[in-house]
Amino acid sequence: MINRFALGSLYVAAAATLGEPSRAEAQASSSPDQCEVATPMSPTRLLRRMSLDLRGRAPSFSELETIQADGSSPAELLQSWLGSDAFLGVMRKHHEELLWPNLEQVEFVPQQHLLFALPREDGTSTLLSPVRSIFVRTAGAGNLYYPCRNEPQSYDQDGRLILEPLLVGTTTVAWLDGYIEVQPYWAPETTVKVCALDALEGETAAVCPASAERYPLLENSCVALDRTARAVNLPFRGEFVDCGGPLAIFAPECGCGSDLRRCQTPQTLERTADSFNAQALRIIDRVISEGRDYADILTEARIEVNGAIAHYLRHQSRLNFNLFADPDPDAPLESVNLTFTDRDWLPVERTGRHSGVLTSPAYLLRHAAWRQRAHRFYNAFECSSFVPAGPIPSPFEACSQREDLTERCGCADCHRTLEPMAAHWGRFAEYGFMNLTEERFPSRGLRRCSPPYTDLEEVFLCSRLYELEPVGEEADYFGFLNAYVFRSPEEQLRIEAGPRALVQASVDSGRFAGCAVERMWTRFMHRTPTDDERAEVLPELTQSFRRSNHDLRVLLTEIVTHPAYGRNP
Amino acid sequence: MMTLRWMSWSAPCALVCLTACGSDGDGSGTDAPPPVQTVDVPRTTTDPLPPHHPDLAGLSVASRGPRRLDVDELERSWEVITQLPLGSVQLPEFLARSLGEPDWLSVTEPSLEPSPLFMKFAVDLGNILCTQVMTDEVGRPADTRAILRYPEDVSRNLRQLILRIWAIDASAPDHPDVERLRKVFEAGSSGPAGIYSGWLAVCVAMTTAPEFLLY
Repeated sequence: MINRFALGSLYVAAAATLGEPSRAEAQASSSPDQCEVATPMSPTRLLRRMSLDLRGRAPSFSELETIQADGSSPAELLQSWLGSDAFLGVMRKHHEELLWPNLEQVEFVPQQHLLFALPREDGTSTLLSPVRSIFVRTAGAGNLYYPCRNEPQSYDQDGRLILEPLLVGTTTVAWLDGYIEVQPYWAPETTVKVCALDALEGETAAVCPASAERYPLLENSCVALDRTARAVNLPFRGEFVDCGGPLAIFAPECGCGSDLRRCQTPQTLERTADSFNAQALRIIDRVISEGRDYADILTEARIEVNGAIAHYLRHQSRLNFNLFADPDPDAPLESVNLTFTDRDWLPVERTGRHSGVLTSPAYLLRHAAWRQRAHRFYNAFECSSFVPAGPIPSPFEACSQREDLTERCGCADCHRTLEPMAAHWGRFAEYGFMNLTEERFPSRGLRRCSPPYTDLEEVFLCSRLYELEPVGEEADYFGFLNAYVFRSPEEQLRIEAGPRALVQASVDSGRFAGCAVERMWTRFMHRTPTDDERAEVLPELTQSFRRSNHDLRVLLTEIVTHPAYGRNP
Repeated sequence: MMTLRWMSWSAPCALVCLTACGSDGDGSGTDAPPPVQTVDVPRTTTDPLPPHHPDLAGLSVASRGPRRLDVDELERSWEVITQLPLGSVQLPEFLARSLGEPDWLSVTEPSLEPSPLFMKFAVDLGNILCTQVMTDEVGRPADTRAILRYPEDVSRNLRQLILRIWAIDASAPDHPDVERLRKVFEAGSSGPAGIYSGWLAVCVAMTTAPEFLLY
């Protein structure tokens, strides 16, 4: 055993000896008077470089020995490496850098549907929703958080829960339930303890069903919503609603449902988010592994669904008022027979405006606004950025008052390009991934968004998705779907066409190919192209890439066999 | 070398500071600024270039840029080099963030600078993994070992390690890297565990060297 002091001393000795990087290789092929920059790499070092770039790891000892023994070129291994799973991993990483997959801030379900484990003194734990506790247990003037008791739930003769009052003096401050045992959807072979009020299984329940005395912390919302409903001649208080919809949070008897299907835990949430991210990247994996046109990653119709995604879309996607994620008629799930625990991926053929990763839920959620979606595309796949032409003029100037950003001075330089691009996502809801089909959401919604409404959810959708309260120049667009506001007839066609038309224009113009070449060159050369390379090398690579129908393997073979790639740094 | 150069530069600087302090505190009561003193600061120059070297401004030969290994590449490379199953080396995710892996939310670009933090981490990792791998190798047949393949034949073992870890063909007689590492081995072998200490020093030195960490 070596003690740390001895090891530290050894390291100092080693560092002193190895203080400078090895120059042995350069010395072997050039004299000390020559500049080392231009010397070609030895085959073994080149093998290491290519292996790390294309497989994300150093070459094996046997691979190195083979190259050392027969002097063969590392390039001979290229094609097998470009077809390996390790290469797909490298490409996945490259596309993560373009797409920024992170859904940590997405509220997939309302907080009322989030279950946490409450540790008990006897060493067990009970699942409960802390936010829901405030709304369903607290009574009277109580304003504290009360969990359920650590006792089995009891029922009356009619099968209804028996709740016990929690008294402070003679005042009831909460009604407490016990726990029940449930086999949850995320581990159906196990049993967990869940507070009975959270585990309620009903599919419908009444909103705001009782007095302010019983549900004091729900009352303010109930009064406000009741007022809104009355204004459009809709009944509200006491009405039964779907426990799988957004109004369920106002219905205390809408619980997590059978097998807790409408609720999430921190662990299931992480798996759901990871699955959505993986879903987008699997589109890229498939296009590359099948050797297809690289542009297909942006236009591919097929998407894959696993158990976690299928469960979310079937049972939870409509729960959150702030996340538009209604079932998509252009991506039907009927053929996907998976439960949450299924890790298999099954294909779903999307139709309509769907277009590769650009309309995947992960992309739409991560880049929540239309402008964000367009901006990410513009930067990642066209290598372009929005740079203001100068300082923003005084807000008191007339042109600064324009509502239309393509006309507002200081904004127009970027927004004249950005707004038409953003229009391509106009029929995929912001803050969600709902497909706003013409059938359900016509471009002009005056008839749709007028009484009589079918329910309060429709009122809410109209207020969020349509221009119903225009200001100033927006008046001309009263009643239009938000995406159509300020859009010219030509730009409205972009909304109808969806992101695929944007991709097609980029492919036709060569911008897509030119950017892909520049990004791959930068990745594999570990530096941006020089001016000479931009003028001479990249155009040739782009031409070749386009001729090959955007075959990524052709492009990468040309890059890693380029003389510059094989030189010592 | 660096230390000596720094001391020779800092000594005149210290002298200047002391002199300046003294002039402020001499009680003369005048507002006249202290006289300007010049210090002969050593300068580094790139001239003269080696004989027949082309003008630097006219050089247009470009090569691929160097870059340090990222966390994934480091994990997988350690596995390949030491013949461990893929996936055996897993660093905690929080460490990956500290070492420049983006979270794609607040940080959207990988940071692959060979920073002091990264070098501290690389040294610690080298110490830990070299010790673990070598401890494991002691009981295994020689032909399955990576670090201790030929522990008694120093030159041969150094050559296979240089190929394995640095991907440098050191088969030529008197290869300079073999000689450099031989000194490390000899210095290390004076440690408490003899040649085991020597090979440990070589392993740490090689896995913390630019030849391994950069590519």
